[in-house]
Amino acid sequence: MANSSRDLRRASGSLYRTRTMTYACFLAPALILYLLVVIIPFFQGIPYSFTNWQPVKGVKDFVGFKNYINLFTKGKVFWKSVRNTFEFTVIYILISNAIGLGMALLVQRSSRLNNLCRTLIFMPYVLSLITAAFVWRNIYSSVYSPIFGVPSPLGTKGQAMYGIAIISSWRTAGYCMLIYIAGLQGVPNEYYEAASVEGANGFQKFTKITMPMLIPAFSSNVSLLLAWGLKVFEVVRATTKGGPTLNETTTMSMFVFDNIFANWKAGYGQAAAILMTLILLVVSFIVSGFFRKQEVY
Amino acid sequence: MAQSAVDTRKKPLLNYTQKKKLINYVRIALVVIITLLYVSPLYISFNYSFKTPQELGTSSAMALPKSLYLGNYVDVLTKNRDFVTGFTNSLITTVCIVGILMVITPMASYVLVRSTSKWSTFAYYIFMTGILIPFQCIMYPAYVNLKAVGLIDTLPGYILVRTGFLIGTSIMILTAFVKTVPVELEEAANIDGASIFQAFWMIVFPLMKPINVTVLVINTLNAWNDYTVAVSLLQSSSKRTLPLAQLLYTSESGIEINLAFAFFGLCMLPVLILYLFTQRYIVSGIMSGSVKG
Amino acid sequence: MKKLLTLVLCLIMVLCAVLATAEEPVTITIMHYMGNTVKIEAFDAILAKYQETHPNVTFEAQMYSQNDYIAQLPIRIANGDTPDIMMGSPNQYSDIIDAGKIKNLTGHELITKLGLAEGDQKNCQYNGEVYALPLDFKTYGVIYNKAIFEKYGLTEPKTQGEFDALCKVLKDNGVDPFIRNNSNVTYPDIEMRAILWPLLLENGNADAFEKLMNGEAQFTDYPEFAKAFELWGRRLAFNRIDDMSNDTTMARQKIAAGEAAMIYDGTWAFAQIQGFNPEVEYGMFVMPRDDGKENAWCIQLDQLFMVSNESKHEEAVMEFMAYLLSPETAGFWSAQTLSPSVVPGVETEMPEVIMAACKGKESGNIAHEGAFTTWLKSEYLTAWRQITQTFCADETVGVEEAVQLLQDTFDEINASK
Repeated sequence: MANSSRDLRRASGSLYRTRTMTYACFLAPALILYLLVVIIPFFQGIPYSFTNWQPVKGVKDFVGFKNYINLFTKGKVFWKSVRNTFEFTVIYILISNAIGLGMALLVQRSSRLNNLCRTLIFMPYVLSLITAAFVWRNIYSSVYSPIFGVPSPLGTKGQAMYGIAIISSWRTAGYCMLIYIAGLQGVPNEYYEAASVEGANGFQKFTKITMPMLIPAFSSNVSLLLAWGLKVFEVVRATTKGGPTLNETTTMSMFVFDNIFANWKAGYGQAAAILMTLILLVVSFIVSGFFRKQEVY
Repeated sequence: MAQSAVDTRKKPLLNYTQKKKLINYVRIALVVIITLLYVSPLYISFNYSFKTPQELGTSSAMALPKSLYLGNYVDVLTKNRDFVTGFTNSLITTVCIVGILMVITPMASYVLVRSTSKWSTFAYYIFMTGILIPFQCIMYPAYVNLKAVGLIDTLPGYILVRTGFLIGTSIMILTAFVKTVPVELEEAANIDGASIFQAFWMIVFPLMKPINVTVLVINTLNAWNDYTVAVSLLQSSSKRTLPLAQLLYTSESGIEINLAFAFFGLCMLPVLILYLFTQRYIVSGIMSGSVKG
Repeated sequence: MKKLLTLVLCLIMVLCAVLATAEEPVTITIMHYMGNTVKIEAFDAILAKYQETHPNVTFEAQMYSQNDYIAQLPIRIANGDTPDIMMGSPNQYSDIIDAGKIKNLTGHELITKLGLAEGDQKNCQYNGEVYALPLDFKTYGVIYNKAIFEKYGLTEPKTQGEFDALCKVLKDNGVDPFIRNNSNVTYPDIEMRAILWPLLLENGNADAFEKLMNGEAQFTDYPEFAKAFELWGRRLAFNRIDDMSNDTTMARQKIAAGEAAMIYDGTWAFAQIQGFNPEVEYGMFVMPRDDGKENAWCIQLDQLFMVSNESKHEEAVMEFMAYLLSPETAGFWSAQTLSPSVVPGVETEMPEVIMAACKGKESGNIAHEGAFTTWLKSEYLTAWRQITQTFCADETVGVEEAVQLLQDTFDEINASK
């Protein structure tokens, strides 16, 4: 690809210019809209984080790094929310991947039944998160709780995050499954045949061939779920709203939202928003870096 | 090792094909059971939507309704005046959002993959980083900006913001696919005198069909189900989208669960139909686009 | 040519004059969080009826969930999109009032005509000025299934001892005393309020919440908090497996289905409870106390409407408010939504439960939100609610821990300011 474009450049300067122009025109609409709607507003928010901003009162005095210092030294709730968010994300990624991989192994070959099951398992993804939350609140209290004689996880200290993660995973596990099926189908059959000839059993085949070949699928699942999980908001608001015990399930997005809008501490909340974005960036950078290393093998 | 494999075949309880068949039956049973369990929450919610308010207190969640009571659906359709406007607005906004996305993001993804310049790499990183920005961070600036250009509480304003927010993920999925499209086809077309514009729309775009359908459906779902962006940018009842019409049934002071589930069911219907019609593309689309690192 | 131009100009001027004399079309924007079908239907009917006599007026009623309302109202006000009428108690929206966005209604004919009792009046005020117009009030207490009480020969308890005995009788007969919906933070909150408010008020601590919020006082300065937690804890001991998972509606369904004898809920709940099972008869009483005194009813105004200071057609807005607060309209509202009115001259047949609440208020033995200098607001209220919920959900949090948790959380909030 790189070679061909260099050839072209040598071949004709004007052709190269038209190519650049066309490329620019192709890229411009998406890029401009993206800058206008996502990137620029984000940078617009940064100055607010250095003020004691209160939108309604029109107060916006410069306070330097005070909001950030407060977040680091006294922001117990913020760091609790960071921890909660990571806890959620880890559980969420684990459950989604476990269900996704398990189902993928069961329905990897195309047959009428398998295709039907794939369609059905992907179906919860069609629901909105709020709807899914409502469905599950009822499942927990009207089905799960009476059958097992235990209280709903959403109202139980120490279980609420799991309860929420299950709801989110239920919605997205089908997506993971499809990605894993793709990964499985990418494994050449000859590998398994060769292994059989060498007398490997099913388990060995799975750990020695299937697992390593699934790393790209795993990595693409994890990065996707990471971006969704770290921003978790609606599903918590539709279930526990941060409870059942004090800030047990408050997530970063909720902390940011509450402070900017409900608590009238917009400057403080905006500072938390910036920190949150930084945390997200660092984490996804580390994770994608880790996977890039793995895939070299 | 090879010896032992032969040994197990020598004195079998079941012979090889029988064993394979048995495993297959177990697998099928497992698949069916898990799938049924997996979709059972949907069954339970549909079940609620056919129950009368009085039945709710007396029968269990799993029990079938006593009769096929359609009153909840009728109530949602006739009494919730936000339903019809919400439906229309959701239809308009979703079509526009997805329409815009399906034109601009494949073009952009194509360039991001094919161009080797530093600028396009830089642009790619901007798109990928932007995915991580939570809406809560820019909710206030978005309001101020839309207000400044007079687009607050208008469908076009909402469409712009919502489209912008879906660009990142669309590009992420699409670029992964474009990488798998062989460049030789375009070069052949170029030699035949086709412009890049033509080469893209005549050759690459048709090749992208499965992934385009996938992105189309995923974006449709996101646009159709969006609550957070809609509630902060759309105010008038004549401008509100469908997810906001649920408020009537799910407030803090009391949830009307049978009506809520009838509402959710009706909301879900169009996207569910879309999904069922396109599902074979989605499966192949997600599968082709996602795994190529 | 010139003549023609003059003619056209004249015509335009005449047309303008004619249009100006006809009533200008007016759109009144109302922002509220009255989220349930009964209320919405009643409110829509009121708006539609008003439009019959005022064809120039159109309404733009915008409903939000309470969470979204709290978030959206400030954004809109900060950007000059203040709605003409907005729901809310002035004390909770003090920031908006401080910013001068709400019309001061002190001495306005509409408020004087209501002739509100002292507590009600103060409930409409912030800093001694009136900023809101009320339609009805709410109170909370124990709603009980009369048939179950009768079956075991029980009557409304007057003392804590009687109440404890009552719970024991029910329990011994295999009947759950209480259904709860503590997954909704409002409910732990109101159950605690109902114990705490009377205690604080009779000890002359009307400024307790104000002092706690600005850090002038500690929770341990008010032994009423520990006392309230302790009393409530005793009641919570009669628990069920679904205490923390029922949402409001599930709990109401279950009380309607006779799964338990009592539910702690508000006057606003009754319409729905009755709807689930119209054959059951209910009564309502206020939870008794352990010191021999008769307990007070907690009263809060509900459906409080604030009017924008920036409205472009204030006259039309006030005219509508006058209509809304007229005995006919308020009566219609009360009858439809089964909410007890504060508008004088409203006489509607109310079910026994609501009548019990009305009588409670009339008796004067009340703990009114308006009697406090302020009730908790914004993040302090959120923290209070979450901690009362924690007290139900976490067995390791006892009375002392709960009070300590309140203090720590309030300190943290103040530190981040």
